Amino acid sequence: MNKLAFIIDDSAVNIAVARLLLRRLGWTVEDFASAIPMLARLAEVQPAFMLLDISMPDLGGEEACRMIRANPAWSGVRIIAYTAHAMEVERQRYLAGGFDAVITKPVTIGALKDVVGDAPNE
Amino acid sequence: METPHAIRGMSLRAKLVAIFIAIKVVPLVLLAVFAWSAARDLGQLVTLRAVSMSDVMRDTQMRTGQTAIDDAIDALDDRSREAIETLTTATARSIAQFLRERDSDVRLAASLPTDEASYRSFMDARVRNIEEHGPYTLDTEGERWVERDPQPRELALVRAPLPDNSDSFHYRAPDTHMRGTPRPLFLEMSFIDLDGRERIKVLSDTGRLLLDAGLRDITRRENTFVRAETYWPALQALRPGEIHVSRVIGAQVRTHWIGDYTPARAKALGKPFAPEDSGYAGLENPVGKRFQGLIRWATPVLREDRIVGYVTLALDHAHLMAFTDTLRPTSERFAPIADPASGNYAFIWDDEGHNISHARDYFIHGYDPATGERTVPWLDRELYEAWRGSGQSWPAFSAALAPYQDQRLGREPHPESTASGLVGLDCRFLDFSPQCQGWHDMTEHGGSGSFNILFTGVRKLTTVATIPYYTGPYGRSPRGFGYVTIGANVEDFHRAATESGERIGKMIGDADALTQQERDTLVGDIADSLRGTTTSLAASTLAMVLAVILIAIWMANLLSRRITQVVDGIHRFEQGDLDHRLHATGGDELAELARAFNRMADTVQRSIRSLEDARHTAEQANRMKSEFLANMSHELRTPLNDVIGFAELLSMELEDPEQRECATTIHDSARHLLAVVNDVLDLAKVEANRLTLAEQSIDLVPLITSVAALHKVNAEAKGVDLRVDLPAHPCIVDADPVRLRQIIENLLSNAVKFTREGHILVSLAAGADDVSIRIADTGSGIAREEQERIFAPFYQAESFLNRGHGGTGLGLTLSRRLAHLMGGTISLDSLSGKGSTFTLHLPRHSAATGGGPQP
Repeated sequence: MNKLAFIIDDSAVNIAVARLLLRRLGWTVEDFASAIPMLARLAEVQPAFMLLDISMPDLGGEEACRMIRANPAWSGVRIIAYTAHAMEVERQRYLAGGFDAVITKPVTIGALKDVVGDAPNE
Repeated sequence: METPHAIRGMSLRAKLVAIFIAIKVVPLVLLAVFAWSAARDLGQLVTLRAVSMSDVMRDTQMRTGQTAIDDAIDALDDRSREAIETLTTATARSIAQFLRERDSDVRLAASLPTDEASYRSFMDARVRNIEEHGPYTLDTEGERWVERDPQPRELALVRAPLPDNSDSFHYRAPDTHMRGTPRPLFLEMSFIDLDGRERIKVLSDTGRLLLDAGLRDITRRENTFVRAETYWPALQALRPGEIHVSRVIGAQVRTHWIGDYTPARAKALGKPFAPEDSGYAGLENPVGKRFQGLIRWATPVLREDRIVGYVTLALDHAHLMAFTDTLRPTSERFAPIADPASGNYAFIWDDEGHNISHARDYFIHGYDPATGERTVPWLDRELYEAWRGSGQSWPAFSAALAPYQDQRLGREPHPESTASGLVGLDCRFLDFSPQCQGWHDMTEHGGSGSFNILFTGVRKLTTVATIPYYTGPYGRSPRGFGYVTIGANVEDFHRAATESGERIGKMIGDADALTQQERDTLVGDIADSLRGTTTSLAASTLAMVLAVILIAIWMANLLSRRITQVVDGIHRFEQGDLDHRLHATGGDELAELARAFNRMADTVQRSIRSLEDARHTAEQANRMKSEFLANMSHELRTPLNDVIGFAELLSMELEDPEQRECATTIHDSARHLLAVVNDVLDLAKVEANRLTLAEQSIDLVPLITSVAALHKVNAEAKGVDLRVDLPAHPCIVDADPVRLRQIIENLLSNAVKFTREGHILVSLAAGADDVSIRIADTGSGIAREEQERIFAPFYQAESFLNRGHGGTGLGLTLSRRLAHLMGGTISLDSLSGKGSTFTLHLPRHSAATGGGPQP
């Protein structure tokens, strides 16, 4: 079973928090500081889901989501927005743009568990 | 007075046009109508006068013409009548004279020696010229009789010998066609003895043709001429010197029919053509048998004053006929042969009324030579039938007959009487010929005269004159020997007048036609003129009306255009064309109005521009604020993510309680900060009208129960009793459950926060249209002057600095804004030290103040 999760965020500290929390839920985590290497990596391996930041300098989360959704081979990957944008309108826009869920920063273990749950046992 | 709606609804321009038309067009049309009416009346009057004038003229012309004709006819008729009357009386007198000469003859004869030689010599000396026509024969067509040897007429003309005589110079050629033939006056001369026997008898050449030369006893009728002479008794009664004159004695001439005797007529009547066997009738039958008669004169012959016998002279009747046979009551005066068909001829009647001279010899009433009696005359139907019915001989029948019985024009001859050939005229019994009685009456006293009668379709003048001869038996009445009558066609007398009358009539007709034409032309001209007047009047009126209307429209436009311009300008300004200004020239009220409007427009435009600017600035500021808040929220959340996440991890990982307490404190502080950020964000959204409510039907009872349960732990930890007083049944309202929970949590957390002891009561009051959620505490209360300020952002009552309460300072502000957004209110009832009661009023069905539900 796929226990792999990607975290993509330009803030290294934000990645660290999420990684620690996911690991506590049993997920194996690969993280990327930018969406570009993530997309390259995605050609090799597909995670069960990814936490994708929205506001990133070189490739934004929404654009990256659109690119992933453009490839049918990656349709099995859940894409979860991991963002500090807390406006309701923005949340609605992400869901309409191909995201499966939205986790608003600051993240909590409860919120994560509600969205991704515990990693599957072997 | 109320203005009618139709007028109120009219535009100013329409009203002005209407006024112009009313004050100009109506009088114009009225004037035109008056003018037309006057012209028409004039035309009618002139027409009427012209017609009546021409009628009067025509009437006058016709009456004048007719009067002239009538007068001319009357004058001509009078003159003709007088001329013919003169001719009649002259003829009568000539006859009388002639007869008296025969008296002299017989007296002379009585004095002659009574021997044959003396008588012969007397007879031979008594000759008179008679004008006779020559032989006649049928023309080549056999249609009419013509002279066999016509004598050329004397055609020499006599002209006026002197100019002085040339006026109305009439010349009449000699009657060369009349041939005078000497003819013995007498047929017979005889001497009769006292026994009535003829002793001497001398016959003339003409007498030998008729009479027997033998000496006879004339006392016996059969020995007399046509057995009709009965003079012996008269002779016996004669005294010396007295003269007896007999009637006209002669055999009645018969005719085959009356009228033209021609082969065609014979064929038509189905009778043989034998003109010589029928009675003579002038031009109608010039070869017929003539009436041959005599009139006998007798007087005693004396010897020594003693009557020894009687001498008689038988006058040849032809000499009497000669007086009338050739007489023509026309300009011809005399003709060689009578033309009975013309109606212009003369007759002689004896004193008893027998015809003794006529153009048609068969009309002369003679005797039947077989009996010596009068033949039956021509009779009308009635008398003829009566006679035939009687079975008597005519003499016997007529002897008892009253003469002149009911003669009138309506009667007609009996066809049998006509066909019998015996048509001698006896005026006494000629009942279909009423002129007979006229003549009889007119000669009663020996006079003469005339009258007109319409006989056989021709209006005839008939004249009569007594023959004043009274010898012998003719002296018995003033009528004498009898009378001459002349008939003449009246139409012939005044033919000239009639012809000129016709000419005049034609001239009058022409003049009338001309007058009529002139009149018609005049009437037509008047009608044309009237029509022209009407047309031009109508055209000019129409043109003037059009002109008036155009002028009215132009003037109304001129007057209303500027007002319309002002109104249009205001409309354009009103519809957003703020740069539009009115054209203001001149110094009148409208120009002033335009200028005032322009000033106002300037002011309004400036105000609107500044308002627009202000709004634009405010919108920009608001947008910047929102962006700022969103950015701030984002930038705060990113580090808060790390702080809260790691604090959470630490509190989970750390074993040491002291260290774990530190991690928890970090976590709580971060959570508080996040709450502040969230509240600020919410407030910003509300203020920017960006917060949208997701309304749905919710039951307040479980909602309040769950919120209260959440705070019950904290309250009880402080020793405060949190009680809930809720209805048993559901209380449904339309509201956003998240925001409603947020309000209730805020109010309840404040109540718990500021209540140190006592209790907190959460209650729900449900009305029909609204609900009230009341949260009453027994806390410190809020001073009256603080009560409004606590709803301001970041304000907290005295204990605010105590962070232990964990308030964001925005809770009440946000709650009240949210309550307003839901169409409700939050009210506070509090006294310092006596606790506070916050009440949330909500309508059950919001008026959607914050916008509709979002998906």
